[in-house]
Amino acid sequence: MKPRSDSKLKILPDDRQEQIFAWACTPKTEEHPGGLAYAREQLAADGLKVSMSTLSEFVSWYGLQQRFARAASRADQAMELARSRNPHMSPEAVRDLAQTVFTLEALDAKDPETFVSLEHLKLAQDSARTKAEFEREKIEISKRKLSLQEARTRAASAVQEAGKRLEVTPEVLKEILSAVDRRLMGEA
Amino acid sequence: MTPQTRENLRILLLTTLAAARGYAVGIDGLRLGLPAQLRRLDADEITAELAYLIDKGFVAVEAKAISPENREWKITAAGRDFLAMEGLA
Repeated sequence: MKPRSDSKLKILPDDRQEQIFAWACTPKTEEHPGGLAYAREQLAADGLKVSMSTLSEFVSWYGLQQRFARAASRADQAMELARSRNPHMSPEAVRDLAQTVFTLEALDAKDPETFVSLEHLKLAQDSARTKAEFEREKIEISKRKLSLQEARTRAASAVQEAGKRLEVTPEVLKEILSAVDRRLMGEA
Repeated sequence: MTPQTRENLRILLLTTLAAARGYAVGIDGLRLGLPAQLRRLDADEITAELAYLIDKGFVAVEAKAISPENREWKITAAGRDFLAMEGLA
Protein backbone atom coordinates (compact mmCIF):
# COMPACT_ATOMS: atom_id res chain seq x y z
CA MET A 1 0.00 0.00 0.00
CA LYS A 2 1.28 3.47 -0.93
CA PRO A 3 2.25 5.46 2.16
CA ARG A 4 0.47 8.80 2.50
CA SER A 5 2.48 11.95 1.93
CA ASP A 6 1.94 13.25 5.47
CA SER A 7 2.97 9.99 7.13
CA LYS A 8 6.69 10.67 6.69
CA LEU A 9 6.49 13.26 9.46
CA LYS A 10 4.16 11.18 11.64
CA ILE A 11 6.60 8.26 11.73
CA LEU A 12 9.50 10.40 12.94
CA PRO A 13 10.66 9.89 16.57
CA ASP A 14 8.61 11.72 19.24
CA ASP A 15 11.29 14.31 20.03
CA ARG A 16 11.64 15.10 16.34
CA GLN A 17 7.88 15.58 15.97
CA GLU A 18 7.90 17.79 19.05
CA GLN A 19 10.68 19.88 17.50
CA ILE A 20 8.75 20.34 14.24
CA PHE A 21 5.65 21.37 16.15
CA ALA A 22 7.69 23.85 18.22
CA TRP A 23 9.15 25.36 15.03
CA ALA A 24 5.65 25.70 13.59
CA CYS A 25 4.50 27.47 16.78
CA THR A 26 7.44 29.88 16.74
CA PRO A 27 6.33 33.49 16.27
CA LYS A 28 7.66 35.55 13.39
CA THR A 29 10.79 37.60 14.17
CA GLU A 30 13.21 39.77 12.18
CA GLU A 31 15.49 36.74 11.75
CA HIS A 32 12.93 34.19 10.56
CA PRO A 33 9.40 33.98 9.16
CA GLY A 34 7.98 31.92 12.04
CA GLY A 35 5.14 29.40 11.79
CA LEU A 36 4.92 26.76 9.10
CA ALA A 37 7.35 28.60 6.82
CA TYR A 38 9.99 28.52 9.55
CA ALA A 39 9.36 24.82 10.24
CA ARG A 40 9.66 24.11 6.53
CA GLU A 41 12.95 26.03 6.35
CA GLN A 42 14.36 24.14 9.32
CA LEU A 43 13.30 20.78 7.90
CA ALA A 44 14.80 21.66 4.52
CA ALA A 45 18.06 22.61 6.28
CA ASP A 46 17.99 19.12 7.80
CA GLY A 47 17.47 17.62 4.34
CA LEU A 48 13.76 16.86 4.71
CA LYS A 49 11.65 18.54 2.06
CA VAL A 50 7.92 18.73 2.69
CA SER A 51 5.08 20.72 1.17
CA MET A 52 3.26 23.34 3.19
CA SER A 53 0.05 21.28 3.04
CA THR A 54 1.85 18.20 4.38
CA LEU A 55 3.37 20.28 7.15
CA SER A 56 0.06 21.95 7.96
CA GLU A 57 -1.68 18.60 8.15
CA PHE A 58 1.05 17.23 10.40
CA VAL A 59 0.85 20.22 12.78
CA SER A 60 -2.95 19.85 13.07
CA TRP A 61 -2.59 16.12 13.65
CA TYR A 62 0.17 16.57 16.24
CA GLY A 63 -1.78 19.28 18.09
CA LEU A 64 -4.80 17.02 18.26
CA GLN A 65 -2.68 14.11 19.52
CA GLN A 66 -1.34 16.28 22.33
CA ARG A 67 -4.71 17.69 23.19
CA PHE A 68 -6.41 14.30 23.33
CA ALA A 69 -3.47 12.78 25.21
CA ARG A 70 -3.82 15.41 27.93
CA ALA A 71 -7.59 14.89 28.05
CA ALA A 72 -7.13 11.10 28.29
CA SER A 73 -4.56 11.55 31.04
CA ARG A 74 -6.96 13.73 33.05
CA ALA A 75 -9.78 11.24 32.46
CA ASP A 76 -7.55 8.35 33.62
CA GLN A 77 -6.70 10.34 36.76
CA ALA A 78 -10.40 10.99 37.41
CA MET A 79 -11.10 7.29 36.96
CA GLU A 80 -8.40 6.33 39.47
CA LEU A 81 -9.62 8.93 41.94
CA ALA A 82 -13.24 7.79 41.62
CA ARG A 83 -12.20 4.18 42.15
CA SER A 84 -10.11 4.94 45.24
CA ARG A 85 -12.60 7.29 46.89
CA ASN A 86 -15.76 5.42 45.94
CA PRO A 87 -14.96 1.71 46.04
CA HIS A 88 -18.67 0.91 45.70
CA MET A 89 -19.06 2.85 42.47
CA SER A 90 -19.85 0.51 39.59
CA PRO A 91 -17.22 0.14 36.86
CA GLU A 92 -19.75 1.53 34.36
CA ALA A 93 -20.31 4.65 36.48
CA VAL A 94 -16.55 5.14 36.87
CA ARG A 95 -16.10 4.72 33.14
CA ASP A 96 -18.93 7.21 32.45
CA LEU A 97 -17.30 9.72 34.75
CA ALA A 98 -13.93 9.32 33.02
CA GLN A 99 -15.58 9.63 29.61
CA THR A 100 -17.25 12.87 30.71
CA VAL A 101 -13.92 14.24 31.95
CA PHE A 102 -12.29 13.28 28.66
CA THR A 103 -15.00 15.01 26.61
CA LEU A 104 -14.88 18.19 28.69
CA GLU A 105 -11.09 18.33 28.69
CA ALA A 106 -10.81 17.60 24.97
CA LEU A 107 -13.24 20.34 24.07
CA ASP A 108 -12.01 22.91 26.58
CA ALA A 109 -8.28 22.41 26.28
CA LYS A 110 -6.23 25.04 24.52
CA ASP A 111 -3.22 24.23 22.46
CA PRO A 112 -0.52 25.19 25.00
CA GLU A 113 2.25 25.85 22.51
CA THR A 114 0.12 28.13 20.38
CA PHE A 115 -1.34 29.68 23.49
CA VAL A 116 2.09 30.29 24.99
CA SER A 117 3.39 31.75 21.73
CA LEU A 118 0.41 34.06 21.42
CA GLU A 119 0.71 35.03 25.07
CA HIS A 120 4.42 35.78 24.66
CA LEU A 121 3.68 37.83 21.59
CA LYS A 122 0.87 39.67 23.35
CA LEU A 123 3.06 40.23 26.39
CA ALA A 124 5.89 41.59 24.25
CA GLN A 125 3.49 43.88 22.41
CA ASP A 126 1.88 45.02 25.67
CA SER A 127 5.28 45.52 27.25
CA ALA A 128 6.55 47.53 24.28
CA ARG A 129 3.33 49.55 24.23
CA THR A 130 3.51 50.18 27.98
CA LYS A 131 7.16 51.25 27.80
CA ALA A 132 6.50 53.61 24.92
CA GLU A 133 3.42 55.04 26.65
CA PHE A 134 5.37 55.44 29.89
CA GLU A 135 8.17 57.30 28.11
CA ARG A 136 5.67 59.54 26.31
CA GLU A 137 3.91 60.25 29.59
CA LYS A 138 7.23 61.08 31.32
CA ILE A 139 8.10 63.59 28.59
CA GLU A 140 4.61 65.12 28.79
CA ILE A 141 4.89 65.50 32.57
CA SER A 142 8.35 67.12 32.27
CA LYS A 143 7.02 69.55 29.65
CA ARG A 144 4.03 70.40 31.80
CA LYS A 145 6.25 70.92 34.88
CA LEU A 146 8.57 73.21 32.95
CA SER A 147 5.70 75.16 31.47
CA LEU A 148 4.05 75.52 34.88
CA GLN A 149 7.28 76.69 36.50
CA GLU A 150 7.74 79.30 33.78
CA ALA A 151 4.15 80.49 34.23
CA ARG A 152 4.59 80.74 38.00
CA THR A 153 7.80 82.74 37.60
CA ARG A 154 6.20 85.07 35.04
CA ALA A 155 3.08 85.51 37.20
CA ALA A 156 5.10 86.17 40.37
CA SER A 157 7.22 88.74 38.58
CA ALA A 158 4.15 90.46 37.07
CA VAL A 159 2.33 90.53 40.40
CA GLN A 160 5.35 91.95 42.20
CA GLU A 161 5.77 94.66 39.60
CA ALA A 162 2.09 95.52 39.76
CA GLY A 163 2.20 95.42 43.54
CA LYS A 164 5.07 97.93 43.59
CA ARG A 165 3.24 100.20 41.16
CA LEU A 166 0.04 100.02 43.17
CA GLU A 167 1.90 100.26 46.48
CA VAL A 168 0.33 97.11 47.80
CA THR A 169 1.42 96.01 51.27
CA PRO A 170 3.72 92.98 51.47
CA GLU A 171 0.94 90.98 53.18
CA VAL A 172 -1.56 91.69 50.41
CA LEU A 173 1.10 91.05 47.75
CA LYS A 174 1.86 87.72 49.39
CA GLU A 175 -1.83 86.88 49.37
CA ILE A 176 -2.20 87.82 45.70
CA LEU A 177 0.88 85.78 44.79
CA SER A 178 -0.48 82.83 46.69
CA ALA A 179 -3.89 83.15 44.98
CA VAL A 180 -2.28 83.36 41.52
CA ASP A 181 -0.13 80.36 42.32
CA ARG A 182 -3.13 78.36 43.51
CA ARG A 183 -4.97 79.27 40.34
CA LEU A 184 -2.02 78.16 38.19
CA MET A 185 -1.63 74.93 40.11
CA GLY A 186 -5.35 74.30 39.80
CA GLU A 187 -5.13 74.65 36.03
CA ALA A 188 -2.09 72.43 35.75
CA MET B 1 -18.25 16.48 -1.60
CA THR B 2 -15.79 14.88 -4.01
CA PRO B 3 -14.85 11.21 -3.54
CA GLN B 4 -11.34 12.32 -2.55
CA THR B 5 -12.69 14.72 0.08
CA ARG B 6 -14.99 12.01 1.38
CA GLU B 7 -12.05 9.60 1.68
CA ASN B 8 -10.01 12.25 3.52
CA LEU B 9 -12.91 12.93 5.85
CA ARG B 10 -13.26 9.23 6.71
CA ILE B 11 -9.54 8.94 7.42
CA LEU B 12 -9.51 12.11 9.51
CA LEU B 13 -12.46 10.84 11.56
CA LEU B 14 -10.59 7.59 12.17
CA THR B 15 -7.33 9.30 13.12
CA THR B 16 -9.23 11.62 15.47
CA LEU B 17 -10.89 8.66 17.16
CA ALA B 18 -7.51 6.89 17.37
CA ALA B 19 -6.04 9.94 19.12
CA ALA B 20 -8.68 9.64 21.86
CA ARG B 21 -6.83 6.63 23.34
CA GLY B 22 -9.83 4.44 24.02
CA TYR B 23 -12.26 7.21 24.90
CA ALA B 24 -15.30 8.00 22.82
CA VAL B 25 -15.61 11.26 20.92
CA GLY B 26 -18.74 13.23 20.01
CA ILE B 27 -19.37 15.37 16.95
CA ASP B 28 -17.77 18.51 18.46
CA GLY B 29 -14.66 16.59 19.43
CA LEU B 30 -14.45 14.99 15.98
CA ARG B 31 -14.61 18.42 14.37
CA LEU B 32 -11.37 19.30 16.18
CA GLY B 33 -9.56 16.81 13.98
CA LEU B 34 -10.90 18.27 10.75
CA PRO B 35 -9.51 21.11 8.65
CA ALA B 36 -11.55 24.32 8.49
CA GLN B 37 -13.40 23.46 5.29
CA LEU B 38 -14.59 20.12 6.73
CA ARG B 39 -15.42 21.51 10.18
CA ARG B 40 -18.29 23.39 8.58
CA LEU B 41 -20.02 20.16 7.56
CA ASP B 42 -23.41 19.41 9.08
CA ALA B 43 -23.51 16.88 11.88
CA ASP B 44 -25.63 14.69 9.58
CA GLU B 45 -22.91 14.63 6.92
CA ILE B 46 -20.29 13.63 9.47
CA THR B 47 -22.63 11.05 11.00
CA ALA B 48 -23.21 9.57 7.53
CA GLU B 49 -19.48 8.97 7.12
CA LEU B 50 -19.30 7.52 10.63
CA ALA B 51 -22.10 5.14 9.64
CA TYR B 52 -19.95 4.00 6.71
CA LEU B 53 -17.01 3.43 9.07
CA ILE B 54 -19.32 1.49 11.42
CA ASP B 55 -20.40 -0.70 8.49
CA LYS B 56 -16.75 -1.37 7.74
CA GLY B 57 -16.23 -2.38 11.38
CA PHE B 58 -13.73 0.44 11.99
CA VAL B 59 -15.89 2.45 14.40
CA ALA B 60 -18.45 1.63 17.10
CA VAL B 61 -21.12 3.74 18.74
CA GLU B 62 -20.44 4.20 22.44
CA ALA B 63 -23.28 2.93 24.61
CA LYS B 64 -24.25 5.73 26.96
CA ALA B 65 -26.45 5.45 30.01
CA ILE B 66 -26.90 9.21 30.29
CA SER B 67 -27.91 11.46 27.39
CA PRO B 68 -27.67 8.81 24.68
CA GLU B 69 -28.92 11.44 22.21
CA ASN B 70 -25.46 13.04 22.43
CA ARG B 71 -23.86 10.27 20.46
CA GLU B 72 -20.19 9.39 20.77
CA TRP B 73 -18.04 7.03 18.75
CA LYS B 74 -14.96 4.90 19.40
CA ILE B 75 -12.41 3.34 17.11
CA THR B 76 -12.33 -0.46 16.99
CA ALA B 77 -9.35 -2.79 16.72
CA ALA B 78 -10.10 -3.17 12.99
CA GLY B 79 -10.00 0.64 12.67
CA ARG B 80 -6.63 0.75 14.36
CA ASP B 81 -5.33 -2.00 12.11
CA PHE B 82 -6.46 -0.09 9.05
CA LEU B 83 -4.63 3.04 10.20
CA ALA B 84 -1.51 1.03 10.95
CA MET B 85 -1.59 -0.50 7.47
CA GLU B 86 -1.93 2.99 5.99
CA GLY B 87 1.03 4.19 8.03
CA LEU B 88 -1.21 6.59 9.96
CA ALA B 89 -1.10 5.11 13.44
